[in-house]
Amino acid sequence: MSPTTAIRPPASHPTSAAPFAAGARAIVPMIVGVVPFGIAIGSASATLHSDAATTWAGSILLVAGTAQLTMMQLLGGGANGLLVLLAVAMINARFLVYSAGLADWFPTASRRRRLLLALPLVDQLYFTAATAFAERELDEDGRATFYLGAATAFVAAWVAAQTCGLLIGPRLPASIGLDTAALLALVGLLARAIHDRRALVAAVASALVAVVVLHWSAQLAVLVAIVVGATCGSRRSAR
Amino acid sequence: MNPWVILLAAAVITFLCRSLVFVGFAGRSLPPRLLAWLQLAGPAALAALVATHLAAGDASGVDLAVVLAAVCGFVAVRRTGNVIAALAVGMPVLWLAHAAGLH
Repeated sequence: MSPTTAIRPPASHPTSAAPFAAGARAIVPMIVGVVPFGIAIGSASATLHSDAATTWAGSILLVAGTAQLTMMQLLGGGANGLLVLLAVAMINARFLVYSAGLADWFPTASRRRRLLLALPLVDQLYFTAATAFAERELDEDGRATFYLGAATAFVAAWVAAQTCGLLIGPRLPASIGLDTAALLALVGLLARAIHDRRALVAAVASALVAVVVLHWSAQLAVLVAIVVGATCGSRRSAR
Repeated sequence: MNPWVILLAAAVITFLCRSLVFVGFAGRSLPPRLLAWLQLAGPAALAALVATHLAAGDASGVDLAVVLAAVCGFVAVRRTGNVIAALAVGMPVLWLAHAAGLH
């Protein structure tokens, strides 16, 4: 269904009067899920030998946990800067897909507004907006306000979580294993990302290639694995 | 390369990924095969990151407690559909495994 199609909202969701607040409320479950990840990234800063100021700035400038964690891990392992940037580009390539979704939701937005709306685009925001716009009657301005409300709440919570991680992380005992918390957050995202056979093939192929290439080049392992994994997955049928 | 330069470059790359189709290709769309490939880059990236982290381990080699925690966390999320379950289940498993002497 096109997101621009008008649909009557359920009676229990009178969102048209305050779409900004409705957007902020709608993304709360996603925030609950991502806050531990943000705290874990902030806490991992010390163990990955990442400068705290760079980590904190990254929470604002990137608003992309997986890419940020990858960047910290690769830099901590002494990877070449260009390889780090290539890995970031590969990991964030999925935003190109979400970007196409924005074009569908905001077809008449000005260039300036498009730049503003694209700025906070993340998985959680995209999926929250996609669900809401399929269920609720909102015109394009209403959708933009709802989207910005959700984005504001999410980014604020994300930066706050990483700040907490940076502040409390170094004071926690090593035995608590907060560096493993960051890994487990990735595991959780991976488990959710495998939604069909193609994604499963992509993930399995990528993991196998990563482990094999790791023996030759730790710097290239993630990059090569993403290319091979996504290519293998795209050659399979979805079911 | 200076970490700040890398961070700023990463921010620009990330913003380009977010805005390219929306701003630069207004009224047009990417080829379906490319879109399908891009959708799979996410799970492929996550799997590669998890696999390299688990395979690299620490100075003493692969930490089996971490592997066990990751497996349990993965299963928990698949069963509940909630990402938090990876932490809620995985961390206690990690602590218990370490307490039991598994490394």
